[in-house]
Amino acid sequence: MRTTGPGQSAFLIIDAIVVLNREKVDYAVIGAMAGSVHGAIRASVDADAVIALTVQQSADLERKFQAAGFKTELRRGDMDDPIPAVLSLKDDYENRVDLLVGLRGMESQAFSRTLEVAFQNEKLRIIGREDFIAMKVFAGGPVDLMDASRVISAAGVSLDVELLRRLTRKFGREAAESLGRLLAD
Amino acid sequence: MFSLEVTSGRVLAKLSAMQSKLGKQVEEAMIEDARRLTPEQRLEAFAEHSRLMMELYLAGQRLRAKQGGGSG
Repeated sequence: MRTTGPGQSAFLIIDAIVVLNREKVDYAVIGAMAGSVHGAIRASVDADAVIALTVQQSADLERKFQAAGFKTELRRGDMDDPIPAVLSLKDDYENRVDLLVGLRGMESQAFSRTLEVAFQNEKLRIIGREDFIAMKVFAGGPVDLMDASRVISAAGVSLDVELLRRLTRKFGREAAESLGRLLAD
Repeated sequence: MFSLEVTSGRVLAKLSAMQSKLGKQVEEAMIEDARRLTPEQRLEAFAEHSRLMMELYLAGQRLRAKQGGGSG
Protein backbone atom coordinates (compact mmCIF):
# COMPACT_ATOMS: atom_id res chain seq x y z
CA MET A 1 0.00 0.00 0.00
CA ARG A 2 1.15 3.51 -0.67
CA THR A 3 0.26 5.01 2.73
CA THR A 4 3.19 5.86 5.01
CA GLY A 5 1.45 7.57 7.92
CA PRO A 6 -1.79 9.14 9.18
CA GLY A 7 -3.67 11.73 7.14
CA GLN A 8 -3.34 9.70 3.96
CA SER A 9 -6.87 8.42 3.45
CA ALA A 10 -6.62 9.98 -0.01
CA PHE A 11 -3.78 7.53 -0.80
CA LEU A 12 -5.68 4.63 0.75
CA ILE A 13 -8.66 5.28 -1.52
CA ILE A 14 -6.35 5.12 -4.53
CA ASP A 15 -5.23 1.67 -3.36
CA ALA A 16 -8.90 0.75 -2.91
CA ILE A 17 -9.71 1.97 -6.42
CA VAL A 18 -7.00 -0.31 -7.82
CA VAL A 19 -8.93 -3.25 -6.32
CA LEU A 20 -12.29 -1.91 -7.51
CA ASN A 21 -10.97 -1.49 -11.05
CA ARG A 22 -9.49 -4.98 -11.00
CA GLU A 23 -12.84 -6.42 -9.83
CA LYS A 24 -14.68 -4.23 -12.39
CA VAL A 25 -16.79 -2.56 -9.71
CA ASP A 26 -18.21 0.83 -10.67
CA TYR A 27 -17.54 3.51 -8.10
CA ALA A 28 -17.73 7.25 -7.56
CA VAL A 29 -15.68 9.17 -5.01
CA ILE A 30 -18.01 11.25 -2.82
CA GLY A 31 -17.70 13.21 0.41
CA ALA A 32 -15.03 15.77 1.16
CA MET A 33 -12.72 14.62 -1.64
CA ALA A 34 -15.46 15.15 -4.20
CA GLY A 35 -16.32 18.43 -2.52
CA SER A 36 -12.73 19.60 -2.96
CA VAL A 37 -12.86 18.87 -6.68
CA HIS A 38 -16.15 20.73 -7.05
CA GLY A 39 -14.97 23.77 -5.12
CA ALA A 40 -15.99 23.14 -1.51
CA ILE A 41 -12.75 22.61 0.36
CA ARG A 42 -12.83 22.07 4.12
CA ALA A 43 -11.27 20.07 6.92
CA SER A 44 -11.83 16.33 6.83
CA VAL A 45 -9.86 13.19 7.59
CA ASP A 46 -11.56 10.44 5.67
CA ALA A 47 -12.24 9.33 2.13
CA ASP A 48 -15.55 7.99 0.85
CA ALA A 49 -16.93 6.43 -2.28
CA VAL A 50 -20.19 4.84 -3.34
CA ILE A 51 -19.96 1.51 -5.15
CA ALA A 52 -22.38 -0.19 -7.54
CA LEU A 53 -22.89 -3.51 -5.79
CA THR A 54 -25.56 -5.33 -3.86
CA VAL A 55 -25.11 -6.02 -0.16
CA GLN A 56 -24.64 -9.72 -0.98
CA GLN A 57 -21.88 -8.94 -3.49
CA SER A 58 -20.13 -6.65 -1.01
CA ALA A 59 -19.29 -9.63 1.24
CA ASP A 60 -17.29 -11.17 -1.60
CA LEU A 61 -15.62 -7.81 -2.28
CA GLU A 62 -14.66 -7.58 1.39
CA ARG A 63 -12.69 -10.82 1.02
CA LYS A 64 -10.88 -9.37 -2.00
CA PHE A 65 -9.85 -6.32 0.02
CA GLN A 66 -8.65 -8.52 2.88
CA ALA A 67 -6.55 -10.52 0.42
CA ALA A 68 -5.05 -7.22 -0.78
CA GLY A 69 -3.93 -6.35 2.76
CA PHE A 70 -6.69 -4.01 3.95
CA LYS A 71 -8.31 -4.23 7.36
CA THR A 72 -12.03 -4.36 6.71
CA GLU A 73 -15.40 -4.11 8.40
CA LEU A 74 -18.71 -4.62 6.65
CA ARG A 75 -21.69 -3.07 8.39
CA ARG A 76 -25.23 -3.63 7.16
CA GLY A 77 -28.00 -1.11 7.63
CA ASP A 78 -31.50 -2.09 8.70
CA MET A 79 -34.50 -2.02 6.36
CA ASP A 80 -35.17 1.70 6.92
CA ASP A 81 -31.61 2.89 6.54
CA PRO A 82 -30.93 4.90 3.35
CA ILE A 83 -27.46 3.32 3.30
CA PRO A 84 -27.81 -0.45 2.72
CA ALA A 85 -24.26 -1.25 3.87
CA VAL A 86 -20.84 0.31 4.40
CA LEU A 87 -17.57 -1.48 3.75
CA SER A 88 -14.89 0.28 5.81
CA LEU A 89 -11.25 -0.15 4.86
CA LYS A 90 -8.32 0.74 7.08
CA ASP A 91 -4.55 0.45 7.16
CA ASP A 92 -2.07 0.40 10.05
CA TYR A 93 -2.08 4.21 10.37
CA GLU A 94 -5.81 4.77 11.11
CA ASN A 95 -6.34 5.96 7.55
CA ARG A 96 -9.85 5.12 6.53
CA VAL A 97 -11.99 4.68 3.44
CA ASP A 98 -15.73 4.09 3.68
CA LEU A 99 -17.38 2.47 0.66
CA LEU A 100 -21.13 2.99 0.63
CA VAL A 101 -22.84 -0.01 -0.91
CA GLY A 102 -25.47 2.05 -2.66
CA LEU A 103 -27.53 4.96 -1.42
CA ARG A 104 -31.32 5.07 -1.50
CA GLY A 105 -32.48 7.63 -4.04
CA MET A 106 -29.25 7.72 -6.01
CA GLU A 107 -29.76 6.63 -9.61
CA SER A 108 -27.43 4.18 -11.34
CA GLN A 109 -26.69 6.71 -14.09
CA ALA A 110 -24.73 8.69 -11.51
CA PHE A 111 -21.83 6.31 -12.18
CA SER A 112 -21.80 7.36 -15.84
CA ARG A 113 -21.87 11.07 -14.92
CA THR A 114 -18.64 10.87 -12.92
CA LEU A 115 -15.77 13.26 -13.60
CA GLU A 116 -12.35 11.72 -14.24
CA VAL A 117 -9.67 13.60 -12.32
CA ALA A 118 -5.94 12.93 -12.38
CA PHE A 119 -4.58 12.69 -8.83
CA GLN A 120 -1.24 11.35 -7.63
CA ASN A 121 -0.53 9.70 -10.99
CA GLU A 122 -3.86 7.89 -10.96
CA LYS A 123 -7.28 8.59 -12.41
CA LEU A 124 -10.14 8.94 -9.94
CA ARG A 125 -13.83 8.94 -10.84
CA ILE A 126 -15.45 11.73 -8.86
CA ILE A 127 -19.22 11.90 -8.40
CA GLY A 128 -20.72 14.43 -10.79
CA ARG A 129 -21.44 17.91 -9.50
CA GLU A 130 -25.25 17.77 -9.63
CA ASP A 131 -25.26 14.28 -8.07
CA PHE A 132 -22.92 15.58 -5.34
CA ILE A 133 -25.16 18.51 -4.54
CA ALA A 134 -28.28 16.32 -4.49
CA MET A 135 -26.62 13.85 -2.10
CA LYS A 136 -25.46 16.67 0.18
CA VAL A 137 -28.91 18.22 0.28
CA PHE A 138 -30.33 14.78 1.14
CA ALA A 139 -27.78 14.32 3.93
CA GLY A 140 -29.07 17.64 5.21
CA GLY A 141 -26.65 18.42 8.05
CA PRO A 142 -25.25 21.96 8.40
CA VAL A 143 -21.86 21.00 6.94
CA ASP A 144 -23.54 19.11 4.09
CA LEU A 145 -25.69 22.13 3.21
CA MET A 146 -22.65 24.39 3.36
CA ASP A 147 -20.82 22.06 0.98
CA ALA A 148 -23.81 22.07 -1.38
CA SER A 149 -24.02 25.86 -1.24
CA ARG A 150 -20.33 26.29 -1.97
CA VAL A 151 -20.41 23.92 -4.94
CA ILE A 152 -23.45 25.74 -6.32
CA SER A 153 -21.52 29.02 -6.03
CA ALA A 154 -18.40 27.53 -7.63
CA ALA A 155 -20.43 26.14 -10.54
CA GLY A 156 -21.87 29.49 -11.52
CA VAL A 157 -23.84 29.49 -14.77
CA SER A 158 -22.58 26.04 -15.73
CA LEU A 159 -24.77 24.39 -13.06
CA ASP A 160 -27.40 22.16 -14.68
CA VAL A 161 -30.30 23.27 -12.51
CA GLU A 162 -32.86 21.10 -14.28
CA LEU A 163 -30.75 17.98 -13.75
CA LEU A 164 -30.09 18.97 -10.16
CA ARG A 165 -33.79 19.43 -9.38
CA ARG A 166 -34.63 16.09 -10.97
CA LEU A 167 -31.91 14.25 -9.03
CA THR A 168 -32.84 15.88 -5.76
CA ARG A 169 -36.53 14.99 -6.16
CA LYS A 170 -35.47 11.33 -6.14
CA PHE A 171 -34.21 11.82 -2.59
CA GLY A 172 -37.61 12.96 -1.41
CA ARG A 173 -39.77 15.99 -0.79
CA GLU A 174 -37.72 17.35 2.11
CA ALA A 175 -34.56 17.30 0.03
CA ALA A 176 -36.31 19.00 -2.88
CA GLU A 177 -37.60 21.75 -0.57
CA SER A 178 -34.17 22.19 0.98
CA LEU A 179 -32.65 22.57 -2.49
CA GLY A 180 -35.25 25.17 -3.36
CA ARG A 181 -34.15 27.25 -0.38
CA LEU A 182 -30.46 26.91 -1.31
CA LEU A 183 -31.08 27.99 -4.89
CA ALA A 184 -33.15 30.94 -3.75
CA ASP A 185 -30.36 32.25 -1.48
CA MET B 1 -35.74 16.62 13.04
CA PHE B 2 -35.83 20.32 12.17
CA SER B 3 -33.68 23.14 13.45
CA LEU B 4 -32.39 26.51 12.31
CA GLU B 5 -28.78 27.63 12.19
CA VAL B 6 -27.38 31.03 11.45
CA THR B 7 -24.39 30.76 9.16
CA SER B 8 -22.54 33.66 7.60
CA GLY B 9 -25.43 36.00 8.28
CA ARG B 10 -27.91 33.76 6.46
CA VAL B 11 -30.43 31.42 7.98
CA LEU B 12 -30.14 27.89 6.66
CA ALA B 13 -33.02 25.59 7.50
CA LYS B 14 -31.64 22.25 8.50
CA LEU B 15 -33.73 19.24 7.79
CA SER B 16 -32.13 15.95 8.70
CA ALA B 17 -33.78 14.13 5.81
CA MET B 18 -31.31 11.28 5.87
CA GLN B 19 -31.59 9.61 9.25
CA SER B 20 -29.03 6.85 8.82
CA LYS B 21 -28.16 4.73 11.85
CA LEU B 22 -25.39 3.18 9.81
CA GLY B 23 -24.01 6.61 8.96
CA LYS B 24 -23.93 7.46 12.66
CA GLN B 25 -22.15 4.18 13.46
CA VAL B 26 -19.51 4.91 10.83
CA GLU B 27 -19.03 8.42 12.19
CA GLU B 28 -18.58 7.09 15.73
CA ALA B 29 -16.04 4.56 14.48
CA MET B 30 -14.13 7.37 12.79
CA ILE B 31 -14.04 9.34 16.05
CA GLU B 32 -12.79 6.22 17.82
CA ASP B 33 -10.01 5.87 15.22
CA ALA B 34 -8.95 9.46 15.83
CA ARG B 35 -8.73 8.78 19.57
CA ARG B 36 -5.99 6.23 18.86
CA LEU B 37 -3.76 8.97 17.47
CA THR B 38 -1.79 11.32 19.69
CA PRO B 39 -2.65 15.03 19.41
CA GLU B 40 0.55 15.55 17.42
CA GLN B 41 -0.39 12.74 15.03
CA ARG B 42 -3.84 14.24 14.60
CA LEU B 43 -2.36 17.57 13.68
CA GLU B 44 0.06 15.97 11.23
CA ALA B 45 -2.77 13.92 9.75
CA PHE B 46 -4.90 17.04 9.33
CA ALA B 47 -2.04 18.89 7.63
CA GLU B 48 -1.31 16.01 5.26
CA HIS B 49 -4.96 15.42 4.41
CA SER B 50 -5.50 19.14 3.85
CA ARG B 51 -2.54 19.23 1.50
CA LEU B 52 -4.03 16.41 -0.55
CA MET B 53 -7.49 18.01 -0.52
CA MET B 54 -5.96 21.26 -1.82
CA GLU B 55 -4.43 19.28 -4.68
CA LEU B 56 -7.88 17.97 -5.61
CA TYR B 57 -9.39 21.44 -5.23
CA LEU B 58 -6.85 22.92 -7.65
CA ALA B 59 -7.45 20.06 -10.11
CA GLY B 60 -11.16 20.84 -9.99
CA GLN B 61 -10.48 24.54 -10.43
CA ARG B 62 -8.45 23.84 -13.59
CA LEU B 63 -11.25 21.67 -14.95
CA ARG B 64 -13.86 24.39 -14.30
CA ALA B 65 -11.64 26.99 -15.97
CA LYS B 66 -11.43 24.78 -19.08
CA GLN B 67 -15.20 24.32 -19.08
CA GLY B 68 -15.81 28.04 -18.57
CA GLY B 69 -17.53 27.43 -15.25
CA GLY B 70 -17.96 29.73 -12.25
CA SER B 71 -15.42 30.96 -9.76
CA GLY B 72 -13.66 28.85 -7.17
